[in-house]
Amino acid sequence: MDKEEAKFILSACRPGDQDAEDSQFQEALELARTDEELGAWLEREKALDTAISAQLLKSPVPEDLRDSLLAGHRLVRVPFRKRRAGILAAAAAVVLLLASGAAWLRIQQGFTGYRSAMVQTLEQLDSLDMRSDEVREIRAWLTERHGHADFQIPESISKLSGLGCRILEWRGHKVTLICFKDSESKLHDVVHLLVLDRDALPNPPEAPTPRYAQVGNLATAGWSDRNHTYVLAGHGKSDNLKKFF
Amino acid sequence: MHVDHPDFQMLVDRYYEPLYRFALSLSRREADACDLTQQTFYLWATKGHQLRDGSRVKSWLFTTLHRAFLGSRRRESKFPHYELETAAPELPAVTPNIVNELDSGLVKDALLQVDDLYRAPLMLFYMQQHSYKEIAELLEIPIGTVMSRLSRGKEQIRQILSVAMDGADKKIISLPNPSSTRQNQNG
Repeated sequence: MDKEEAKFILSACRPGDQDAEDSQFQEALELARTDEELGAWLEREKALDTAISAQLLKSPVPEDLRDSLLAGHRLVRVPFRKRRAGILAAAAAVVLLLASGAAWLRIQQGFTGYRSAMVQTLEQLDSLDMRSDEVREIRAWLTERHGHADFQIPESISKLSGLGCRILEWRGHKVTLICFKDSESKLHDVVHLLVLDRDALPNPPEAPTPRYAQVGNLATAGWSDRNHTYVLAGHGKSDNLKKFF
Repeated sequence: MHVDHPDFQMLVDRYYEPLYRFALSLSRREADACDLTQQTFYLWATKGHQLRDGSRVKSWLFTTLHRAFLGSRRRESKFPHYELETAAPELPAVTPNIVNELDSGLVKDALLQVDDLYRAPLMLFYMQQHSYKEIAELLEIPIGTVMSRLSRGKEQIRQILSVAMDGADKKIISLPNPSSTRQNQNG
């Protein structure tokens, strides 16, 4: 076995000690013990794998997922001989499953689901329908295309330069995206405003205090006025958005 | 009479997070990942009693999720990815210290930009709960293929992280300098 073959095999060796006794790796591990260069490579490889693994294991899991799983899966497994006596129990379990499924659906159709869906959209977005640094031009363009041209924003956001806008869709409802350039921020210099008709949501966030949440890589702030629900999103932490309110 | 699955909550508590992360690496969408996870536990609740060897629950869950994903996979919309240069000597080397300082979301995004073929085995590897043999069994591919995909997947994610560290792509939307002239682009 040469060093390249050993590296190929050892790439599949987990960074901990889990695979130390696996016969598949023995020859390559022995070579790494005797060859200084290969041994150094293996140490770097393990350290890097450990670091990447640790970061991936930090990625957040939706808050509601566990409860939804537990609520939605109290199904009865009824042996054949007890099936007749268990018909009511099975029916109750189906009702419970439908109820939990409906609860999950409400989460997805409500503000939390909307915000999550929009963050995913933002993370995959690679173009705008219209570009301008003038907010009045953006409003005019939206007016022509029946977007939410009458969006109302805090004064601190209105002082930012525009970047452009795009009209999106969520569950059949029109969503207007307006992007702004935050020149004061060197690291996170783009903020995105999403505008949705307020009556599209069963539980819109209330004004005037925004509801902050970290969703994936983005910090978000949500609030509503009489007609619209807004989500402001930007890279980094919530503190980067609080300055606007 | 209700009869609860005896270990259902224990299974959820032990596996729902890694299953979700695995589902996310496959589907790249939070909502789809939730659906896949929910579907997997639903299938366990209805068919798990057929599993005779309780020690294989983990493998059963992950295999079921992977099959559910394959069965429901739709044509994905374009996911912005880095154009990797075949030779980019100016890119910074990825070291453990640098990775430790990165935003975990950045590392997750890097994984989601790895090619489809390599991403699933890579995620299973990095979760550290699966040996290469288990990955081969779970994904229903030969052991040699697992090793090959891990090797190339690791190379890709490190290149992607290297580009990200270089500051080449920190913005959600990569835009040219805005001008006063209105420009229309296709969405």
